[in-house]
Order: sequence, then C-alpha cells, then structure tokens
Amino acid sequence: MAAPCALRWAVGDENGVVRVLAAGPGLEGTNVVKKYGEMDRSRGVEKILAMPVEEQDDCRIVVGRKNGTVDVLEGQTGAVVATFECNKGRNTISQHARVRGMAFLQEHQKILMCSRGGGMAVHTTKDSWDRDSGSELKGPVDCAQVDRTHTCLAYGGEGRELSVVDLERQGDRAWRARQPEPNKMGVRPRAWLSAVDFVGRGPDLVLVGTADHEVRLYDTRAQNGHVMALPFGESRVTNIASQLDGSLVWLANAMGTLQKLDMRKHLLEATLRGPCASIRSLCHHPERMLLASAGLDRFCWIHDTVSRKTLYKSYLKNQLTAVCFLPEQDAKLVEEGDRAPTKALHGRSNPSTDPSARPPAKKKRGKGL
Amino acid sequence: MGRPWMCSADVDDAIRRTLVLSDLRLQREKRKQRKKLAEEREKAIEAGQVPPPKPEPKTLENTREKDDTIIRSDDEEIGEDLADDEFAQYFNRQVSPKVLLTTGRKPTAIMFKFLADLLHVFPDATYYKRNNHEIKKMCEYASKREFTDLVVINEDRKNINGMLVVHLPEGPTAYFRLSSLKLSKEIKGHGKPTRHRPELVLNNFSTRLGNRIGRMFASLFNQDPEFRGRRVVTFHNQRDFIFFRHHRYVFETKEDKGKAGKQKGIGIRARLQELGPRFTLKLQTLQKGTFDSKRGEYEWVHKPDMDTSRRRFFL
Repeated sequence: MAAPCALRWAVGDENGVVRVLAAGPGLEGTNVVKKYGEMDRSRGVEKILAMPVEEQDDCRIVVGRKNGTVDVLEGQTGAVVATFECNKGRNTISQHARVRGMAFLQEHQKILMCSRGGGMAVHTTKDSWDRDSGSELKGPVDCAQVDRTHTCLAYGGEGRELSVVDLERQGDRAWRARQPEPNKMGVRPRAWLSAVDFVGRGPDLVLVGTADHEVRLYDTRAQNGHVMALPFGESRVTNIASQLDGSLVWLANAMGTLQKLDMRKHLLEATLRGPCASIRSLCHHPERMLLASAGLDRFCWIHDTVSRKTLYKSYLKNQLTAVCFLPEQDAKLVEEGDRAPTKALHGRSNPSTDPSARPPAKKKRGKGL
Repeated sequence: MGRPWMCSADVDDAIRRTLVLSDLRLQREKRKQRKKLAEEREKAIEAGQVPPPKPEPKTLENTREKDDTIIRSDDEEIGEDLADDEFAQYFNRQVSPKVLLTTGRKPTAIMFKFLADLLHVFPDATYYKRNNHEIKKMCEYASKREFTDLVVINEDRKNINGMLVVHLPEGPTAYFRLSSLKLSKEIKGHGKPTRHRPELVLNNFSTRLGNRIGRMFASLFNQDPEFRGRRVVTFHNQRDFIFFRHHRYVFETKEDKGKAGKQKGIGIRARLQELGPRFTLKLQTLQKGTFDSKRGEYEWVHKPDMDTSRRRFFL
C-alpha cells in the first residue's frame, strides 16, 4: 500500500519570502514546512512555479521577482541554484522590470520568462543554465501565459490588445486580436489586459480578463475579434485559471471574487467563498480538483472545486502574491516547521484523487402516477 | 404598564401566563445562584481562604471569535514588514504630516461647519475647494505639493456620511462610513480648542488590518504633541466601530473621604471637557495604492458573507 501523501504548495509574498506549506494525511492542519529568503521589498515575489527534477524525487521552485530576476531554488533546502535576468542588456525603468510571465517548458527543459517592459528570455535547465535566446515583446506586458503544449505565448497589457506569439519562431507575432467595437456612446475603451489563460490543453482558445471588469474569449483559428464577452465583477480581473479539460475556468478579481465560468454555456456560475481582498495568484492542481488562491488579505486558500468547500486556509502574515502546487510527498518526509495558525476545515484531510470525481448525482424524480 | 404580577395564576391570557411563568423561573434560578455564591464566599472567608473570584459577565468583546491575524508584540516578522511599509517614513520622523481636506461635489452649510471643526482637530490641515476635480487628479496634485494625506468628506442630501482617507504618494486608501455626527456647538458644555498639537490615543486596533488603519490615523497627526495644551484626540475601536472623540483634560488633586472602598487621602483625578466634533467611523474598504475605484486593488472589502457571527470582528 502506498504511503499517504501530503499535499504541498509554495506561496510567495511581497517581501520576497517563499514558504512551502503541507497538509493532508499524517499531518495536523496546515504546516509551514519551509521558509526561504530574507525580507526585502525590492525582491518581492511576482510569479512562482514548480520545476520537477527527474533525478530527484522532488522539484525545484522557480521564483520571478519584482526587480526582474528569476531565482531557481532547491526544493528541500531553498539554496539558490541559478539566477537569471529578464531584462539583461536592456534599459528598463523600475516599474517595468518586474517579471510578468514565467513558464517551464518540460519537453525542451527550458525556462521562459518575460518582464513588464517586454524583455523575454529563455534559459536551459540542463547542466549549464545558459541563456538560450532572448527577444522583445511589445510592452507593457501585464499578463503573459504559455499554453500547455508549450508552443505559443499569449500576452497583453495596458494599451496592448492580446497577441499570441510562436515560441519556436521566438517572438514573431502569430496572431493579434482586433480591438473591440465601440460601445453605445461611440467610445472604444482603451485596451488594458490584466489576466490571460489558454482554455484547456490546446493553443487555440484564449480567455483574457481586462481592467474594465470584462472577460473575453478569443479563438485564434476563427477570427481576430472576440467570440464571447462577459462582464465580471466590479473591479479589475486579476487571474484566470482553466481546468485541464477546458470545461470550466476560474476567474478572480481585485475585490476577492472567485467565480466559475462554464465554457460550454458561457455563463458565470458559483463562487468560492473566503477571500476578501485582491486575489493575486490562482493555481489549479494539475491532477486533483483543487484550486489554490493567494491574495492581499494575507491568507492562502485551498478550495475543493467540486464541492466548493474550503479545505485549507492559512494566515501567512504578509501580503501574498504568488502560489503554486508542488509534487505531493510522503507525510513522514515532510518536516514540521513553524506552526502557522491554520486549520483543516470540514474534516477533509484526504481530497479525492480522481480528477473526474463528482458528487453523487441527485436522483431524478419520476413523473408520478 | 400595570402592577407587576406576583403569581402567574393571576394572568388570564394563556400566552402571557407562560411568559410570566418562565420569567419567574429564571429569576428564581438567578436568586439561587447568587445565594449559593454568597454562601461559598462567606465560608471561604470564615475558613481564612481566598474567596472564589466573582464570575465575569460575558460580553461580545470577551467572547470574541479567535482571530489568527491578531498581532503579538514579539512578532519579529511583522515588525520588519512595518519598518518598511508606506507609513515607515512618518514613524521614522523623515516626513511630517500635511493633510489636504476637501469635500464632495456641491457641499452644503453643514459640511462647512464640520470642516471648521476638523480644521481645529488636525493641526497641519489645509482646506481646498473641490471645484469638480476628480479624486485621482487631486491625489497627483497633492503629491506634487508634498501633502502626505488627502481627506475627502462625503455628503448626501445634507447628511455627512463618508470619509475617504488617501495616504500619499502610494496609498493605501481607506473609505469609512461616517455616522452619529455631533458638531462642537451641539455638544453641551463644549470647550474651544487651542492650536496646540494634540496627543493621540488609539484603542483596540489589534489585528493586522486594525494595526494598518491605526497607523493611518496616526500619520494624520504630528509625532510631537504639546503636552502643555492638554488636548487629546481619541480613536477608540469597539466591535469594528471607531469612535472619534476630542477632549481637553486637566489633572486635579482631590481629597478621598474613604468611601466605596477607596483609601482615605489625597488623590489625583482627571477631568475631561469635550471639544468636539464627535462621530463614528466604520471601515468599508481598504485599497492598495491611491484612489482608483475602477481598476484598483483592494486589501480588504467588507462583504455580507463575512458576517458569520456576532462575535467576529476584523479590526
């Protein structure tokens, strides 16, 4: 029988500190297992992702920072294995230095990063950590995302509509969205993309969120205009996280609203309760039906997306800016670090491992006599 | 009201009879408990032991729901974060407060009376006419002129109902609902404030959010009060309502005659005279950065589904 595995996730905050948390069978509540980095506001965490390492039964943590540097940390010790510069060789003002997009291209064993000013760099992760290539995106870039087949990069920002570039051709624009039609007053609102994600596994469907409280769906195969536009919330859309099968997308905004968008019906459905501040980062678990969110209310939430219940909620003292799931580990290997004031809620210490798990269907009433 | 019923059998109406009966039972239980406690105290005193302590009445404050965000005095991490936040320059005495006071569009007479009182409260405040400027533009203008805070008082149909405090140049921005306003002239026995810099009292800002709001209020006043003026401004937080009071105090010697358990002798008493105004604030939203209602990010927003319990407070 396999040893029970603890759920693990990494959270970064605005002071540049990265914490690894663990919860699940064999552990009581949520524990802050590791804490890496010194407090330095200029090195605040902007993006974080897990980089699995084949030789070791663990992963490395890639951290993109406010000053444009990307650090690769050893998962167990937090030692800095490599540091990259997004804006190397470019004159970038401090506001445009921050890392806005990061992706680990597993097949090619490379890390891609881009900054707000538009500087994009790709580094290899095998043996040497050399810079493989670099190019320039048309900035400012406020959101950037690589699709799950690692072929395209979608990005946009303030004054810049959605552009999709081909990664193999290094920055050549493959597709660009057309500006939306003017509204009833004859005014065409200024483009300001604040969130982007590819829907499902393919590189064709892209969902963007704008600072004007709207989400728009683009199909790069069909047309340059949007396929769907929906108003969402009352503030800037901050994050979009798509489920792997593309049927559902989770939207988050700057007021703490976390809501489900059904991609078949194009309707906004249920919300996840809990966050009361801007949600800076969303991460959907690659296998399970779990969603991690971290925001300016200094709490990190793990919700079960099927039952919509809060599984774990941890208070981490500083304003949180990035979250990602790490590979699960045997609970006995997880060291007990500081006890964060947290609790496992609703008695759910062992979330469903079946990605297709659904609550039991309600019995249909017969038509009666 | 009628005479009190001594016996429930005197009540003809069945529903009222059951209510009176249950009330009498409750009173009987309470009398029994008081008698039992008094007997235990007497026995303990006779036996020369320490009598059991009097039970404290349960209030909403002492049965408050446990909050993870309450700051402990020995928390180093939070201390490091506070040493580098937006108010750090004020607390390090690198910057002195300079407050820009303004109104909503189309202020009425009551607004000007309130502003006159507020200009007495804040020693470093300047009033500017609103003139239909946008708040975002006002923030830029005020930052260039080296103002540290922008305070906008909102009014609706001759009723002052809101206060927006924007800390410059990078925020945060807090919006409060203002209620129970009493101007100085409406307060009986009010005094006339002097121009001395006041002392500041901030009570019960215990959570992380409360601490941030408390620091925001502190940054509106100068760090060096003039104690000679004997003027004090109080922001007292209770159950997430912030009570603003403005007093002058005086210490007097008074002879104690040994009544009510106090020792005989000469004691020092503080006497207060309210200067006004008096109002209550309730935090609605706290925004990161300066005012931007459309595209800004919020650090805290009050939502109805947060009110899960009467014993849950956020400040």
